[in-house]
Amino acid sequence: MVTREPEYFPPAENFVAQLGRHVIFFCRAVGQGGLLFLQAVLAMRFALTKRARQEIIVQMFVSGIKSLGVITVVALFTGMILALQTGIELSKFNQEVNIGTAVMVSMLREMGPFMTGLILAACVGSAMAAQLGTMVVSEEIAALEIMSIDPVRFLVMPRLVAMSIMTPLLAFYTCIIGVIGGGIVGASQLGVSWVSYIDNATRFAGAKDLYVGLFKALLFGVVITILSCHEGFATTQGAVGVGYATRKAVLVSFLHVLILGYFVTRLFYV
Amino acid sequence: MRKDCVARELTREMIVGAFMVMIFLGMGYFTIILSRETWFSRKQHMDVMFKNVMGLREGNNVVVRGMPVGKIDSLVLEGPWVRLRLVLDDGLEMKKDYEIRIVATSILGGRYLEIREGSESLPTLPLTSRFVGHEPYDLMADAAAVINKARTELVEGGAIDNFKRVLEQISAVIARVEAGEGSLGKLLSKDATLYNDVAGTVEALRDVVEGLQRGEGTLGRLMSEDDQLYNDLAAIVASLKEVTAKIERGEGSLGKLISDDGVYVEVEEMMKDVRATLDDYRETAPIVTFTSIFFGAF
Repeated sequence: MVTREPEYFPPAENFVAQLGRHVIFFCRAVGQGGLLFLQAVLAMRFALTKRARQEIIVQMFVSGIKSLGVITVVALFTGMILALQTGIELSKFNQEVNIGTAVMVSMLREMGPFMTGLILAACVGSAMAAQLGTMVVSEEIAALEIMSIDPVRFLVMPRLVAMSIMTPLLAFYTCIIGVIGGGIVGASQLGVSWVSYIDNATRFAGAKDLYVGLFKALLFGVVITILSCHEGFATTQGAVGVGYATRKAVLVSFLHVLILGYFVTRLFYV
Repeated sequence: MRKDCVARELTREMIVGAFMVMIFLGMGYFTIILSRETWFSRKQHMDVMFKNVMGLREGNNVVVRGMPVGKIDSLVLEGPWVRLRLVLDDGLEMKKDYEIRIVATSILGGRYLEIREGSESLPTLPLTSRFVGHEPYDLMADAAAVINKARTELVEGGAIDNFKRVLEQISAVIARVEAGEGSLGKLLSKDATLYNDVAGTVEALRDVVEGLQRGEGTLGRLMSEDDQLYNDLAAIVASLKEVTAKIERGEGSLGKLISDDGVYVEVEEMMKDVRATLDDYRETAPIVTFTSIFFGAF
C-alpha cells in the first residue's frame, strides 16, 4: 500500500513529545521516500514494455516539451541578467569581454540545473502531486491495488524515467539558451562581439563543468519525482489535502534542489 | 478515433525524439569543444621526469612555441622523481638540447608545461627516451625573495633613514621658501621687488637681443648678415698672423730682438751704458748745480 489512511494523533503533551513526534514523522517520510524510489527503480525492468514505453513518452512530453516555453524564457533572461550584471562590473576594468566565461561557467555548473530544477518542481512536480493526490482521494489508487496493478510501476516508474531523462536534457537546453541570452546582451549593450564572447565562453569552461551540471540535473529530476509522487500518495482529507500535498511537494522539492545542489558542488569542486 | 490516438502518440514520440536528438547532438558538440580533444588526429606519448612539479595537474596544457600541443595525462611518483605522461599531437621532434620546464600561467596560479624542441642541427631523440625537465621557476618564491631583499635594504640598509633626512631637508627648504627667504622664496613671496628686478633684467636682455637681431652695435653688426666688420676683423687677424710669423722667423727688429741673442746682448750693453751715464749724471748733477749757482752769483 503506497497510500495511507488518515492518521489522528492526540495533541503532544509537551514540547519534547512534539519534537520527538516530528523526528519520527521525518524519519518515516524519508523511509517511505527511499522505499518508493527503490520500488520505482526495481520497476524499471518493465520500462521497455510497450505500455510503459508509451507512458514514458507521454510523461517525457508533458514534463519536457511542455515546459520548454517557460524554460526558454527563464533561461534567456537568466543568461541576460548574468551577462549584464557581470558585464557592468567587468567594464569598470575594461574586461567586459570575459562575460562569456562568467555566463558559460555559471550556467553549466549551477544556474542551468538549478533553474531547470526549480521550474520542473513548480510545473511538473506540482502537477504530479496534484494528479496522484486526486487519484488517491478519489480512490483510483486503491482501485489499482485491488486489481493487483502496482501503482508504483504504473504511475511512478514512467514519471521517474521520463524526469531522469528529460531533466538533464532540459538543463543543457537551459545552459544553451542562457549563453545565447548572455551573448545578446554582450553584443547589444556591452560591445562584445559574438566571436569574442563564444571564444571566451568555451576557453575556460571544461567538460567536467558540463557533466557535473548534467549529473546534478539528473539528481534533481529524481528527487523532484520521488518527492512529488510521495506527497501525492500521502494525500488525505479530500480536495484540501490535494492542495496541501501540492504545496508541500513544491516546497520540499525547492529545498531539496537547493541543498542537493550545494552538496554536489561540494563533492566535485572542493 | 483510434487513428487519432495513434497519430497523437506518433506526434508526441516524434517531438520528444527530435528534441532528444537535438540535445544529444548539442551535448556531443559541447563535449568535443569543452574537452578540447582532437579525437581524429594521431596522438603520441612522451614521459618526462621532474624532481618537483610545483602543483602541475592532470589535464594541464603542454605548450610548444606558445601553441598548445597536448595535455598531461598522468603524474606518478617514482622514487625521487615524478613521472609525467604527456599526450601530444603528432609531429613533435625533440632534439638533443631540448628544454622542458613548468611555467606559471599567472601569479594567481595555474601551470603549464613548456617544451623547447632544441636546435634543428642536432640529432633527434626518440620520444621513448627518458626526458628530464628543468627545475620549475617559482614565481612566488622569486617575488618573495625580491620583497625580502627590498625590505632588508629599506630597514637595515638605512634607506628609510636617508629618505627621512631627505624629507626633513625638503621640509626645511619649503619652510624657508614659505617664509620668503632666499631668491626662490622672494620670487614666490608677495614682495614683488625681486620679481620686478628679474622682469626688468629680462626686459633689458630682450632689448639687447632685439638690438643684436637688428644688427646694432659691434656685436650686432658682427652677428648681422653684413660681413663688412667680420671681413675687417678677419683682415686684422690675418695681418697679426703675418706679423707673428715674421717675428717667429726673426725678421725685423722685434723678431731679431726675440730670436737673435746678439741684439739682446747689444741692447743689454746699451742699457748698462745708459744706466752708468745716468748714475754719472746723478752724481755730477748736484756739483754742477752748485757750481752754476756759485759762479752765477758772481
